[in-house]
Amino acid sequence: MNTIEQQLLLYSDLSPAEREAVDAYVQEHPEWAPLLEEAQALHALLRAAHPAEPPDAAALADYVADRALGAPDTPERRTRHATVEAALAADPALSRRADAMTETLAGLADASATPLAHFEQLTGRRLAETPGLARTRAGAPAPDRPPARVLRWHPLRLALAASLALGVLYGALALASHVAQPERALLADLGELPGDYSGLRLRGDAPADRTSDRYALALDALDDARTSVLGLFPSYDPEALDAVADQLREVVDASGETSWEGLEALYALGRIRLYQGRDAEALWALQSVVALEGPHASESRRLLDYLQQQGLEEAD
Amino acid sequence: MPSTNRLDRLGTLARRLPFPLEDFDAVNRTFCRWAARREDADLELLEVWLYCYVQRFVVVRLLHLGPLGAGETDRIIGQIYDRAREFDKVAEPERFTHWLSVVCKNTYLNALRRRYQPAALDEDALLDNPVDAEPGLYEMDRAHLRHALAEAFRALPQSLRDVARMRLLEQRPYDEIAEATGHPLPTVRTYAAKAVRRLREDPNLRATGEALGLLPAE
Repeated sequence: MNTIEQQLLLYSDLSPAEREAVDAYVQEHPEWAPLLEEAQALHALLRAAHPAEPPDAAALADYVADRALGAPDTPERRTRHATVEAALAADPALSRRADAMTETLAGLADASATPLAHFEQLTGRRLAETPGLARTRAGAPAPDRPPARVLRWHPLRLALAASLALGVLYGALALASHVAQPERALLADLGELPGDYSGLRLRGDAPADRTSDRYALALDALDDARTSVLGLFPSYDPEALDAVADQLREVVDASGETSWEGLEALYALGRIRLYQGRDAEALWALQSVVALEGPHASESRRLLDYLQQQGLEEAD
Repeated sequence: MPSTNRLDRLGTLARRLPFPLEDFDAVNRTFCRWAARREDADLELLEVWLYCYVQRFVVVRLLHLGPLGAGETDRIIGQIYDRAREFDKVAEPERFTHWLSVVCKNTYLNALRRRYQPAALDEDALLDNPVDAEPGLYEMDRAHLRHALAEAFRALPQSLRDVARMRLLEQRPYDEIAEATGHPLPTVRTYAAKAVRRLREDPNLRATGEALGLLPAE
């Protein structure tokens, strides 16, 4: 390695006089300029591995998120937090910005599903209630298991085995039922709609007003339109579904699109029309929910993505 | 200030993780194991970790944007999650986290263009200049950088590694390094320069630097 190459690679270590000399040399020999540029970029990259001081906007956001998302307490994180907290104490404007970020975060939390529910919706997984489950699966050695005991078939165990077998059989049928349904039916998931209404009923024993009453009746009619065997292989009577859709339209007209019932009715209508393959009306209803920020805007967006994809495939 | 309970629920899934979110070695090991054996326990762990990673990735960025429409955060997280969940597209399982950082960045910018935001924003400023939406390096990006640096330093010959660590990471003065290693001062300088030359040629470090916008794309 010659002297000039070494000086270029360690440019940031040079004294001002040495830098001046190197700069002059590079001007006369431009073939060395790319190496100087790359070396400086690498030194900037090395510096970026350390937290910004004083804390920048990203560091502030990390601090706010760490506090909310339950980041584990490590020495490195403690040091970083102490730096941010010192800056917050010294700078009221920075402190106000952190407060604003915390408010924004709380707003995001309020307007979102819980992470657990959202995760389960995205993956179709059901996680165990207790957080300890993942820890035992993390790659750490499994705890020693006690030796298996000899199984004795007394009546209680037989009964348990029989109910287990029934459970397995029902599980297999549920899987078959799931597989047998078209993709649209799975997405529309009309069987879940009446559950959405239970919250309203719990707030009071009866619906509060006439439009709520109509909405309740529509959902009850939707329930009646469904036929299934032990909750499996569900199907819907087309005419009854059309009648439910008409009822939901009336709720929207009566209560207005921006009311709670109106938005719920639009969402239900969108799912029914999606199930029926009446895409234009499904698009209208679901787009309205998204545009008006209904409580089911996120799910509506997902269904719209599906409809858009279907439209593209048909266009191809 | 918002009550802790309102924010607490954001961390419910992250608290299930058996290792810190930024432990990319542990994640890549789990991914390699899943790629080799396809066991559901590994897949579940990867999916939970991935959700927490994406959530964190999105949340710290959205804090600069102000309030969004209802369900928008979930939509953006969901869109990135679905794209990042395409595990079969990962060509190098041992570098899964690097692949993920690139996917997240690109998908996030796309998702942001489609966002619904009740308050009017200066769209042009935000969309035409993504730097406005990226105000510095987030800690998770820094963790990617540190991970790539650690790998690059491990690949250096032993003779260069100690000098490189002391000079380039710990920023210790040359005379102190000479004393600590027993090498003459000119040798220490030469070793440091050689280490810089090797590091700038490290493909993984280059890729990470480019993905984070710290190195110009080739």
